Amino acid sequence: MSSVEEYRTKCTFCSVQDDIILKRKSTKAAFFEKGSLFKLYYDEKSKRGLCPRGNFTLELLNSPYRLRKAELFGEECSLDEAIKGSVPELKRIIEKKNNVAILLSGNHTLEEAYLAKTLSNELNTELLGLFPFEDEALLSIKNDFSFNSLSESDLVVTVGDVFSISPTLARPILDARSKKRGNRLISLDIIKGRVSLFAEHFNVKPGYMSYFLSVLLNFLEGKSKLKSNETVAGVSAMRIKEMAEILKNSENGQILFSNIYGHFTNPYSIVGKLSSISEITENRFAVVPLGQNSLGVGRIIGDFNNKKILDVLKAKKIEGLIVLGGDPFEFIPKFEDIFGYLNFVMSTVFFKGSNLSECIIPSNFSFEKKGSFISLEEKIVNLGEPVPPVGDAISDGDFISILLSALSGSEAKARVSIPQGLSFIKETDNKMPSSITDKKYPFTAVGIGLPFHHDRGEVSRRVKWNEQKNEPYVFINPCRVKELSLGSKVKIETPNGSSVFKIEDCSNLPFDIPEDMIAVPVHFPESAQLFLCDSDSDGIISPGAVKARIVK
Amino acid sequence: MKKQKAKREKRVVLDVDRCISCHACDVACYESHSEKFCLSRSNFDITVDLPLHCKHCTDASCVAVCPVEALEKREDGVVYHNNFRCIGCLSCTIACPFGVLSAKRVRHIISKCDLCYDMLEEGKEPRCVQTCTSGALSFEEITYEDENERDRVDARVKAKPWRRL
Repeated sequence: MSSVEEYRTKCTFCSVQDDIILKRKSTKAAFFEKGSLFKLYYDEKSKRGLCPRGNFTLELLNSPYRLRKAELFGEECSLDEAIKGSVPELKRIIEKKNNVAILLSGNHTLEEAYLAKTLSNELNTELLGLFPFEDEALLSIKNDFSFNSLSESDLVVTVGDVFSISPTLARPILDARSKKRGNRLISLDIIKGRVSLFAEHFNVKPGYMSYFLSVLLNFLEGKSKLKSNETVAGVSAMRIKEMAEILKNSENGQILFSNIYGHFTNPYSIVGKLSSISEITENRFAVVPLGQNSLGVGRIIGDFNNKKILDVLKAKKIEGLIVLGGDPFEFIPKFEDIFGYLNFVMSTVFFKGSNLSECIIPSNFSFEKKGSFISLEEKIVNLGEPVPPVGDAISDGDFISILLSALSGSEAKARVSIPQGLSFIKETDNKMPSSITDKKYPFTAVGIGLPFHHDRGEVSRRVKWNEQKNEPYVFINPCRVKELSLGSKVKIETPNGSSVFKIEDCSNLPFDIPEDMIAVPVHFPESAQLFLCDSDSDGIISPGAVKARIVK
Repeated sequence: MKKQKAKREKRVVLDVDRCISCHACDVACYESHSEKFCLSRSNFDITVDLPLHCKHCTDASCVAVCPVEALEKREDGVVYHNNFRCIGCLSCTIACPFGVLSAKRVRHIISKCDLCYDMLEEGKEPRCVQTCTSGALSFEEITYEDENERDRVDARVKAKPWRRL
């Protein structure tokens, strides 16, 4: 006798939140191959398929790299033991206000975010932040976006490499472009990314995107005129005028902004300017978050705390850190230095490998838990029936509830504030940024996204699908590699830090790398070292396009 | 393997003007075929990174050269690879005129596209087509009128003259 269990749920990786169906056949077979228990189906309603990361849902279900047991001070233990061992330490730390920071990933449900807010009250701290840090930029705007309207748009402008970050948006965007003669697809980026192969591409100098948009905005508002022989951030005045005309003449255009760590300088200003441009030209504007539910989690957190948290961590002013849904070593720059000063670090993670935190709890993916999300279209969507998790893994919501009970004996009430939007977001900055490169640092390091990764890479980090890439690597123009007689490995140094990288073959990329650029895939912890930021001008912890040099 | 009656044949067609090289088709194929690589990639140029499917040729040379009859042309047109007969001699990979049969052996045998016949039996499309993020892959019927034409354009790639590379 065999029966089929069906789980209808959401893809766990990005804000597109595609529907998936997981089917499991329970049978008393004497032999079955790995992965044969579950089968993945795509919900026929959405017609959007799944990207490479989405297809890894099956691998995640049975991954040998999944963390199955809790760990306390490096020793495997039960969940109860881990919480009992952590509570006295936490109670000691929270006697002082704001002595512990909580970082919450954008892949949590709304319910979990609410519980995290409750936890922050219980832990006597206001330091509750959202990661990936670059998603903070989307808290101050409301997405004007729908999949139906996107495929009907007569103009789509992408800022950043949307196809690499959210490949499933490619279908409606390409549908829109080919729907009618005269429909346009414009790509605006500092590098020729995946979208540029299909679009009219405007290549802006790295670090100058905010300035370029302010010039375009002023031109659209009629505040300034452009000389015909002028060039702004690498784009000729004629092309800027052409772009302004296209934006003005579109009837139902869509502007999409997608950022990744280390790619754009001042993403806050960019969001603000794009928002103003969309208002003036009467086009729709949306930001594509990296996290699956960054929109919802960010709104429940309600404050822009990331900068404060990184500042206190760097100044060694706090004793405790709780990271929900990630390994702090992966995304906090120079965390090795900070870690030594922290008395207690607790993290909930999916995979083995982060064995340095004092307390590690095995966590669940979204298809293994219940809850609700806010989608890219600003709608509340519910997850379906959860798939049974592996080992002792529990959802972060359940973990917070248990921790709250252990701390206080009862659940505390949380105050949920509404984000206020920053006043400077609409301000335009007409100052031309000073040159990024100089004699000492002749290169510009730019973060790029590849659609084939998650976690530390043991599972799916592949540039070419059939090759495992666990070593951090960068892309450098082959002519410069030859000219500088570089070996297979180089040390890349920026004013923020340095790391050793392998030089990867550029033929693995569908686009060229300019001669003065080092393209850094940002999914390696080593990459974060290059883009460390002290106090970015617009307050967001996501610096991009930093000057760099190669140390042989 | 249950043989199906002859029908109008359907094949996977690639619209090169829509493929964004995201490899979702590769991953879907790999995950559902016991971790075997059944799709090849083109390596013509750095800007062209497209999936290459088995064409399931009418007169398949891989079937003709196989010394152990591990490859067979089914009635529904699918060139089927029998894992239990294959000895991994790689004759088929040399014979394939399109170079889509990879010489990379997994568990000592070759891997080959089976058009996800389990999905076809459920009335669904192959996994690579279902998962294609940009709508570049489609599963289209080849009409009898096209039969003579089919071998000539067997690459089954839709290329538009205004494609920019």
